This record gives sequence, structure tokens and C-alpha cells, in this order.
Amino acid sequence: MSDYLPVMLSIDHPHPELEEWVVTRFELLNGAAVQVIRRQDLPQSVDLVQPQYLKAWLWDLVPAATQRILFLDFDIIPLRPLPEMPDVPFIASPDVHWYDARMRAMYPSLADGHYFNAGFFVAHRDTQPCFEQLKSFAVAQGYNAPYENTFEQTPFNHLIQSQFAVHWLPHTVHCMAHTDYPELPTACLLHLAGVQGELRWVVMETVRMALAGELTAG
Amino acid sequence: MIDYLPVMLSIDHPHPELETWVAARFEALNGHPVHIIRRQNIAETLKALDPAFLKAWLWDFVPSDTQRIVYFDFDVIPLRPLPLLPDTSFAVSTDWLDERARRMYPSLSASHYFNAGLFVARRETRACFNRLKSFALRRDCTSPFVRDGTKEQTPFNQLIQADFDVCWLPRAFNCLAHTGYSDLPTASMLHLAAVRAGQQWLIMEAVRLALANELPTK
Repeated sequence: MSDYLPVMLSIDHPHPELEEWVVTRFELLNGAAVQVIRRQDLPQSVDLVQPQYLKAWLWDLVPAATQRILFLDFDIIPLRPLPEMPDVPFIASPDVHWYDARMRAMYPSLADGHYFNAGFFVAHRDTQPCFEQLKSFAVAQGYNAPYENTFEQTPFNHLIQSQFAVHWLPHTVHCMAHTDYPELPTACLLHLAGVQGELRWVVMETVRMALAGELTAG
Repeated sequence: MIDYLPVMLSIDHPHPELETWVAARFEALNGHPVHIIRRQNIAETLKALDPAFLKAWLWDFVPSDTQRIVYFDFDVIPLRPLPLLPDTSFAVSTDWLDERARRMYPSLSASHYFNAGLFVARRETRACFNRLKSFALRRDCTSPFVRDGTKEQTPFNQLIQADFDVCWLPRAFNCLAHTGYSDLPTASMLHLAAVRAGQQWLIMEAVRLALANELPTK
């Protein structure tokens, strides 16, 4: 039995049937039902917040008794069961190797650690103040400045890593679809980050069809 | 059922195991072994050419008694058996650039613009392939069509359509992965065209894993 609440932000998903498949598959593989947060679940006050920044409001959107969340972007395919998660405040995987190295070179505060990809993480409620600060950042700084390409990810890295020692998971847990070919044979989650537009959903639907036996085994 | 030789150009494939899988899956689905053309099969004089132009030499690479080929790029995933193929000189599906190309080229305005990553051709089209060879050699692959990203595809469209009435196959025949979600439920071949370099192999491997029962199916 998992001691976390899986949460997926699914804002304006163009293919609700795929959203449903992902949450069903996650639950079957990991034994925990996913709480899906859709646009209609959000307070009106965040209507203009870019979807990437909405994870700052996660603790407001889950039940008050929730002590730990496992966050998933909606473009993640659950491939295999996740390993046990250690009881630490924050768990994540480094972003793709070249990007991790680039961000560590850019930001001295990250030089001795890693730069995580914020599409998947496990967070204890202890981290809620960091999320509150990310909200303030989103509202006060505007959403494009100064991290145009990484959206919330860079300030989120700074906020978390300034207060917590991140527990780093290997890329086999959170496999990035544009770089992690060697990790794929044992990957738990396949994250279609960096896959552009409709292609994400075509890939997801093809994997779904293959797993559902809708394609000839060949 | 018409007879054909499936042919795949596979120049410097970074993942030979995927090349093998695609060829084996095509054969299992369609009953025809695939004739694979690799760099070592190419004359020394052609090795400096952009690989996209090598399809101009296809008729030189296949046995001389081959009367019909089904050509496909190495980034195509066979999903389902091919439909019954018409006994015509040239059969193909439209490209995602169809509308734009028809506006750009008056000779194509009353027709369509095809994607050259998958087509069916009879030997009588060979003269067009020979003209494409001349184009490739004279222009040294630096023509406007190369610079606009379509490489051999635009001259090939013009050469074929100048001499033959193309039989237009449904888009589900050659489902383009970045635009073809609606065609996917009946797609024969999923073409990972316009997918960022490297990403297409990870996508292909994910589909292979799913089809090979190497992932939990629950």
C-alpha cells in the first residue's frame, strides 16, 4: 500500500480518454488512485496562471489530511510499478543529462547537486512553504520572467533545494522520452517531455493500443 | 493480391535492433521479407549524398526482376497489415504539407503533395527515379528544396506527378505521427516523420516493448 496521494494536473487535456487510461494504469500498477486536477477544480483566482505554475497550488487542491503527494504531469506514461519511495521531504529525478549539466553550470546554488525535472516528484507536506513561495513568485514576477523556457521549473528547483536535501532517483524511474533510450528497458514512467504537440498523444495512444492488445502482436 | 518487394533504406541506423524489429514485424504482418539497403550496399560514389536522396537509386538496389516495390523510411513502425494495394503505377498518401505545397507549386494545385516516406511504385516509374538521380547529382543536394527541409520530396512529387496519375491512399496508410491522431485507430504504418532526432528511436522502442509483452499489461 502506497503512503502517498498520486496527483496529476490535467488542464484542458485534448484527449480525456488518454487521461483516463493513464490514471487507471497508474492505479493498477501502483495500487493508489490518482487525484486528477482539472480546470474546473481550480479557484477562479488562478484562471490566468499558466498551467505549468499551477503545481504551486497543489497543497490547496488535495485533502487537508494528505501528508505526501506524488505529482505526475499529464504527458507521462506509467510503464512499470514504481519502487518504494523513502520517507524524505522531497524526491525527484535529475532532468536530462545535458540540461542538468547546463543548469548546474548556470546556477552556483545547484552546482553540487542536480537540477530536477518537475514533471514527476514526491513531496512531503513539510515542503508546503516552498510551494507557497512559488505561488508568490508566479503572481509577483509574472510567469515568463526570467525563466522563459523552463517556466516554474527553475524557481521550483531553487526554492526546494534551498531548504531541503533532495533524494535523487535514477532516470530509470522517471525516463525522459527524448534522451533516455538506455533507461527504457527498466523504466517505470516514460515522460513525453520535449515531445511536441499532437505527437505526444499519438505516442501515448500507440502505446495504449499496443498494451491493450488492439494491434496484431506480429 | 498484388506482389511487391518491401524495401527500407536504413543508412547508419543508430539502433540496429530496431531496424531488425521493424523488418521482422513488417514481414509478420504482411508476409513479405523486407529488403534492407544499408550504407555498405551503396556505391562509393553516392556516399556523400544526403541519404534522403538515395531513394532515387532504389531500382538499382533491388533484384532486376522486381516489378513493384513498397518503399518505407526506417522511422516507420508497422502497426497493422497493409490494406489491399491497387495495381497502379504509383500509390501514396498525402503529406501534412499538402495544402501549403499545392499553394506553392501550380503543377500540384489540382492534385496533392505526397509524403515520400512510404509509397508503392511499379517498375515503369523508374524513369522518374533516374531523373531524380540527375537532380541529386547536378544540384549536389543543395537545391531550394533541400534548404526548405523537404529534401528529395518536392522534386520527387513533381517528377512522378508529371508522368503518372497518382493513386491516393488514405492517410491511415502512412499515418504521420505528429498530426495523425484521428487516423491512428486504423493506421497501417506509423511514420515518425518530423520527430526530433533521437526521440524517434525512444518512441519506437517504447512501442516495441509494449507489443513484445515486456511491460505489465494490466
